[in-house]
Order: sequence, then C-alpha cells, then structure tokens
Amino acid sequence: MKRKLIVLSLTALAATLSCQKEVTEQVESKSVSISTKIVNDTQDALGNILAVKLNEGCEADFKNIEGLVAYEKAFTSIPGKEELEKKHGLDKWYLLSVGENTDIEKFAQTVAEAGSVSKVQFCKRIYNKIDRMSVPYEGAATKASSWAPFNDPLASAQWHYCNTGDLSISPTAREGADVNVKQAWKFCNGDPSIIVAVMDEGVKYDHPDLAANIWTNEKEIPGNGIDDDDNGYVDDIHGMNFITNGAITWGKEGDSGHGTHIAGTIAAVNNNGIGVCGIAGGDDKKAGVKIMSCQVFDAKMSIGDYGSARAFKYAADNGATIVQCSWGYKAGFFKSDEQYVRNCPMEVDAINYFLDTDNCPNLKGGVIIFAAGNEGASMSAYPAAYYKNISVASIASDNLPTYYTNYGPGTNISAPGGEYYTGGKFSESGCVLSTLPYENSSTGYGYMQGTSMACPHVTGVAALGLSYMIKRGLKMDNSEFMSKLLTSVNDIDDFLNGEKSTLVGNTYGKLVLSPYRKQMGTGTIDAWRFFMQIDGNPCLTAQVGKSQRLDITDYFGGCAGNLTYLEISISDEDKASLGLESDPEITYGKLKIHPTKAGCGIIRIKAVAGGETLGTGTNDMGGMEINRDVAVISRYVASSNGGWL
Amino acid sequence: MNKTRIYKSIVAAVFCVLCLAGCKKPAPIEKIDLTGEWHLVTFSAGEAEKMDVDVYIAFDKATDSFSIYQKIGEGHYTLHEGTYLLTNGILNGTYKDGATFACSYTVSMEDDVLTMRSRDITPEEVCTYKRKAIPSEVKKDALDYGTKAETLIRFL
Repeated sequence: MKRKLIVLSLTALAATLSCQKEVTEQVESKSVSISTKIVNDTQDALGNILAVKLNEGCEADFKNIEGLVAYEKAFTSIPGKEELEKKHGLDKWYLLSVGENTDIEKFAQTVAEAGSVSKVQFCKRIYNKIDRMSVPYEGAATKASSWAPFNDPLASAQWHYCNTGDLSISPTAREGADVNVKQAWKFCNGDPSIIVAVMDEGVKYDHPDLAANIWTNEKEIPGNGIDDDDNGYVDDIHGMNFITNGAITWGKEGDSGHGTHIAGTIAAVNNNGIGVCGIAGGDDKKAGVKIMSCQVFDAKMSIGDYGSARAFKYAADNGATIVQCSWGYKAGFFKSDEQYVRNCPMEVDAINYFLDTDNCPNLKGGVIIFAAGNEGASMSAYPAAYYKNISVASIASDNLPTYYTNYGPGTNISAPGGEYYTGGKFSESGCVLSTLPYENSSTGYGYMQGTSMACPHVTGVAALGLSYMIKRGLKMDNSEFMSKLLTSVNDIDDFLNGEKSTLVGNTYGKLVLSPYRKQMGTGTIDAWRFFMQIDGNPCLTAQVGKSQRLDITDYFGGCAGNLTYLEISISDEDKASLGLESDPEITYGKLKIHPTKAGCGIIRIKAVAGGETLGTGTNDMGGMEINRDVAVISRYVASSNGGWL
Repeated sequence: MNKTRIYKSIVAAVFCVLCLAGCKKPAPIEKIDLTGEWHLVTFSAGEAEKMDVDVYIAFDKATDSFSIYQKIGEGHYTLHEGTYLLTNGILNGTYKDGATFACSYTVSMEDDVLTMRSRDITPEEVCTYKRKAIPSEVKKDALDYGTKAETLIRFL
C-alpha cells in the first residue's frame, strides 16, 4: 500500500511538473510572441495612438480592450486600388486611439495578445529638418536677371540655379556650383500633368508666384463639408492637412514657411514678371508641374509616422508621381534599413505602395526624395537612408559641403542647400531664395538654408526630367529613372581637400573637408546632364587592336572616377562581336577594353550611388543600386574628339 | 522591219549601253568634288543602320568646310564641323576644336556612291556613303559638339 502511494505520488508529481513545464513554455512562448509582435518602443513616440496590423483574413475586434477610445482603418480603400493595397498590406492596418490616462505600453501588450494581430507599432514622431530661421528678401529688384531666360526679377539672386561665381553671393562663391538648369530650360521647363506632393508644412497655395502651379482636386467641391470624390478626405482641394484632417494652413505661430519655400524651388511660376523662378515652374505660356500640399507639420505640432504613411497613400491615390520630403527621424535614431523597417512598418508599407503606383504614363512607379538631415552627422537620417528612397545632402555656393549637412552611409546625391556662413562671413545671399508666406516675409520671398532646401532642387530636376520625357514621348521605369538621375551629376570629391571657412560649432572656424570625400553621394545634381541621360547615351567608340580606357562620364556623370563599381558584364555574343579576349573592367573610373575586331556590344555596369556598399533593406545602411547599359562600338579608326572621320 | 532599220537599232542600243557603261566609271581622282551631302551606308563593322550608327557629312568645296551630323547609339545627333583638304584623292581634315581626322582617307567616287578608305592603318577601314540630303529634323536635333562639351564639363 505504502509502495503504491509512493508510486502514485511520484506519478502525480511528475504529471504536475510536466504541466508546470507546459504552462511555463506556453507563457514563455506567448511572451516571446507578444514581444515579437510589438515592433518598437515608446522612445520619441506619440502617447495616444497605436498602429496595429492584423493577420491575413482576420477581422478587427478591439472593442473590449480597456483604455481604447476609438479605432479606425488606417487607410481609406480606393475603388480599383484594392489589389495594390492588399499587396502592400495597407488593408490590414488600424489606428487605435488610447485614453489619456492609459499606460500605452500595457495597452500595447494587451492588444498584442490577440491572435488576429501580427504587428503592434508605437507611432514615432517625425521632424522637419529646419532651424526655423528664414531671412526675408528685402531687395527691390525689378529688372530681369542677366542669366535666366525668364523675366522673374529675383532670379538674379538664385545662384543655386546658375552660379556665376559672383563674390557678393559669398566670399568664396564658385562658378558652376548650381543645378545647371539654364541649358535644360532651352528644351523644357515643366509639364502640368506631373504632380509633385510636398510633404511638409502647408503650402501657401494662393501665393501669387505659386498659385498657377498648385494642384486642384477637380472632383472635390470646396467648402461643402462632403467627401465628394470618396477618397476619404473632406474638402481636400489642394491637398490635405494630415494633422488636423482639416484645411491646409501656413500662417500660425510656429509655422516657418518651410513648405512654401520648398514648393517655390520646385515650381514657382516662371516668366510672370514677379519674384523667383522654379526649376519646373513652366512659363507664361504653359503651366509647370503641379504642387500638391500634404501637410504633416502644423505650427509647432508634428505628427507620428502614421500621418506620413497616410500622406504617402493620399499622394499615390490622388495622382502624385514624385514625393518631396524634407523631414525625417534624428540621424542615428535608426542605423540600418532593418531597424527602420522593423520600427516603422506602416510607413514602409505606404512608401512601397507609393513606389509601386503608376500615375504618369511615361514612368512606371513613383519616386521619393528625402533630405539627408542637418545634424552634421556622418550618416544620413531615415527614412532618407532607406535604400528605396533618394537621400540628398547639401552644398553651399562654394561647391563644398555645408557645415550642417549629414553625409556618409545612406546619402545618394548632393544639391545646393545654401549656407549663411560660407567663407566665414554671415550673409543670407549664400542661402536659397524662394517663396515664403507673407506671415514670414512681407515681400513673400526669403532665404533659408538646409538639406531641406537641397532636397527640392533634386525633386525639381526630377520633375523637370519627367516633363522632358513627356515632351520626347519617352518611357522608363522608376529604377532606370533613378539610376539616370543619380548619375546626372558633377564631381564633388576632387574639391574635398583642405578646409573651408564656415560655422564650426557655435563660432566661425575651419571645416576639414576630407571626411566628406566619397560621402556626399554620387556628386552634385545637374539638370542638363539629366536631359542628356534621358535622351539616351551615345555609344563609346573604341579602336580595334588597342587596349584603351574609355571615358564613361556620359553614363555615370562627373563622379565616374569616384564611384564604387560592383559588376561589369557582357554577353558572349557581344564579346564575340567586339572580339574581346578578356572581360572589360573599370579602372580609375574608366572602362578598360581591348577589342580585336570591328563590331558592337552592350556592357552592363552595376555601381553604388552613395558609399561603397549597397543598401539592401537588411542589417546595413548603404547606397542605391545603379545599373547602366554602356554601348560600345569598335572601329579601326577613332578620332580624339569622337568625330566620325 | 528591214535589215537597215534592225542594224541601226542595234547600233543605237550598243551606243546607249556604252554611254551608260561610261557613266559608271569612277570619277578621275583629280576631278573628284565632294561637295554635297552624304549618308553613311556601310563601315567595317557592317551596315550602319543595323549597328545603330547614323552619320551624315556635308562637304563644301567653296569654303573647304565640312559638317558631320552623327548619332552613334542613342541620344541627340552631334554636329562636328571643320575644314578639309582633298589632294589627288587623299582627304585630310581638321575639326573646329583643332583635332585632326583620325587618319587620312583615300576617296573614290562612282555615281552617287562615295568610298573612303583609311590610309596607313591596318586593317583598313572602308566606309561607303550615298548622296542624300541631310534631313531637316537631323539638323534641328543636333547639338553642336563644342557646346555640348563646354556644357557637360563644368568649370567649377
């Protein structure tokens, strides 16, 4: 009997232990599952909003969760776009409003326990990259500029479009430190069918130098309080304010004019006899590209990334092809694509949705351009650094990096962003001149500096290039478009020796330039080169029987000598046509080739736009992939200047 | 038809054939005048059109000048101008930017076909051109080589 009891007791104990183990395993597994579902932490996140993604086929059921105030689908579904929304998971996202006194971390854990939930995300704040400083333009220029083909009087002060090296701009101004738009304007100055979404502070859409180039939602009836076009937004006539879900604003206390300034660089109206020029601003005969205002900053209020995600979706659904973003998270907050994707999955889904949307018959997909950030950090901020976005660093009127610009991994290209202290002397004329609301400048124009100002220069050139493609009847996908844009540059690395005088810390000093070498992306954007790339590249001519190094700057821009090349490939057929006995290679930025017979072939070259490694969306931070097909023809004769004879 | 008429017809036919044959003789070297507009048909690598090579050359003896409109691959036509010298069937030239032709060429002309053979280079490159007016759209599209070079190479 005693033995029986012992056996029974042992069995019971074993059973108990086994159950306990199971329970512990279940608890551990559940806790692991919950912690995996909660993708980020509350650092720099909004305290009252939680984003939740459901599993495929699951229905939302949040009603009984304590602390929940309300919930809604994060994105409005648009008829005809359901498939694309589903492809990028936008149909599965919900936003949950959390009560003021609720512990949002505990709330998130409760939500994550539901089997229907796949991701729970705290919404990180975004920041516009700005020192909030602008200097009003107070001159009284009434004459047309000497360089611009338009009669806009303030163009003479827009050195960032055409820099003559005039030392009144800054003591060290350098000729050619601009976006070289003058030549490009001979061919095209914008096309009104292209919509550029400016995701920023509200754009003053009735500014006299912008109004003609502001997008209008023709399907919406102004002021009737009804969502006439069923796009999920009421009275969205020129865009949307994603903070208040109301009217676009720009004149509140704390507004800086940032969005209006950026809009002017892209599309201020040209040849209207007033103010400034815009890169793709058209002229008095034909409107330029259209600006859609996607307001994600309102006075001193910023928004969480759910707002930017909604703005990307809105831009895609309402016709935008390019999104201009001079905002982001603090540099170093995310240090790899993987970190960014894990922390901000809703924004990433929306970015991918935008990139996959076709709104222009001449371009497959969309293009997103971000400012790299103004912390002077040796890495680009996110989302700029994300490998699918273009990240723009800033140069001054001296063609050198500005003291504030971020650079390094994740940075893809540079453009004029201006600088108050170039040459060791304060002057607003070294900054970027553009439109401002009258609340910020009595003249409606003023100077600002920042990668925020560099970014719209690249956006403007991209919009101008797309306009040119329409004019020429050319089509391409966004990958080829971005490859050509990022190689339409002038070299900057050869100038990065020694020091420059500017602000260093809080005082004038010498900024050492060597750390910026190969860290400013591919080089400085050039509109004329972009047009030439769009038209197509001429064949390189090689001479039979000689080993030679061919110049590839027509394909890779002025940065060809400083790029990192990853792969050079040629088909067997083309190799035979050119009589190549060894594979072509890149040495010192030139294509080394030794044809042994007359023929032709295509050589595919893969390179990195920005840095030495590619960004891949995983545990790294790298440049964008550029692929160019270089056509080579071999002849028995070849002149030194490329002429046929 | 009597024998005399048949005889006369044969003589006339033979005369015509001889005349035509005479026309197809290459022009004497000293009488070659390149003046006019020419379109590249073939070069050593094959047929120009198939190789995506489009070249027009205009020669003007009165001013000793030439203009080449060329598009090799994609993009715009580029215009290369300069002066030339044709002596005893040997063509030499200098571009506006000071560069000389890649080599001198031996030229021959037969009707509307111009043949240029590279000299002092082996293997020899042979190009044939046909007389053809340069289309106005080619001239309109062309970027002056000097302008292009100056614009593309920024003087920073």
